[in-house]
Amino acid sequence: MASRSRRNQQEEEDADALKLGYEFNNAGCLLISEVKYLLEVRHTAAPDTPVFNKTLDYVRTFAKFNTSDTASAVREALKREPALTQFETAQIANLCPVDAEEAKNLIPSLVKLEDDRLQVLLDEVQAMRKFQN
Amino acid sequence: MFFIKELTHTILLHPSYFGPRMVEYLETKLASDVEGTCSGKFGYIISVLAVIDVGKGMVLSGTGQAEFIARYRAIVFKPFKGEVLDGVVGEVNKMGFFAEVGPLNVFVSSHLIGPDFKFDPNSNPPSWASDDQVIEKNTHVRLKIVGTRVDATEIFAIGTIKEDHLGVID
Repeated sequence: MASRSRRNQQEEEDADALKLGYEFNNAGCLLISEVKYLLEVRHTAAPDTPVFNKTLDYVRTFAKFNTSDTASAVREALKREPALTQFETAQIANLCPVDAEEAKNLIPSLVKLEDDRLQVLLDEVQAMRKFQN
Repeated sequence: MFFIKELTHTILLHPSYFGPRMVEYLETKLASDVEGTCSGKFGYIISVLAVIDVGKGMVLSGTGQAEFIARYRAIVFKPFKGEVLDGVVGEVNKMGFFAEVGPLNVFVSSHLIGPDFKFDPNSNPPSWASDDQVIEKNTHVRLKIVGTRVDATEIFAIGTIKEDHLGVID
């Protein structure tokens, strides 16, 4: 019985429909750039586990914004669109899609936004990415 | 997706540690116990950010050990079906290739690479190549998770690059 209910819960998880399961529906999502900042800050006593080291390599490779200031500016910019969930905000900032069509392909739940409104946000994120120092 | 999450962990403490530096010891023990572990429910626990509360120790009858239920905040990584992620290609073979997304290995099978790509066994390193793109070790790819399988201590994921806007990225 227990195993069946766990399996049901598993099947419900689907990022396309923003279903992240009971534990993660309300959890705070982090941008890759924020993870990089958090991991580097504590780097003095970094644990020597493969999981930690692989993650550090990964976030250094794929962080789109290299300072925590830019990352929080991006977060602020995306916060102005109230329809966006935490998950969508993080996915937009992590993947940096160029146009609305690409964004909706990568993050299907964004269909709720009109192309024009989404495009304004994406342009803003692109601009911040381009002009960060 | 990376999350910040509040979790709990139960620590059993031997009486020889009861004393002035106990809380410090508990915090170190918590970090070394949970960092780098993986569970199906919470994904990979990457780093403990803060210990919120080590809890009140409860001495267990019989053994004399104290049980602490500590609450802490950590960075966790958990992949979801339907999520799009960037990864670095690891092993490449004729069945497909593996992409590393942080601690997670994602397998992209030959059926999900797309008809344009052909396996080239003679190249060194081995690669999947189309007319204008090559997937070999250390190539960066954007992929979508189509399924995950959860084990007690590991998560396995299957990915696809056979959709618009997925595939090799610079």
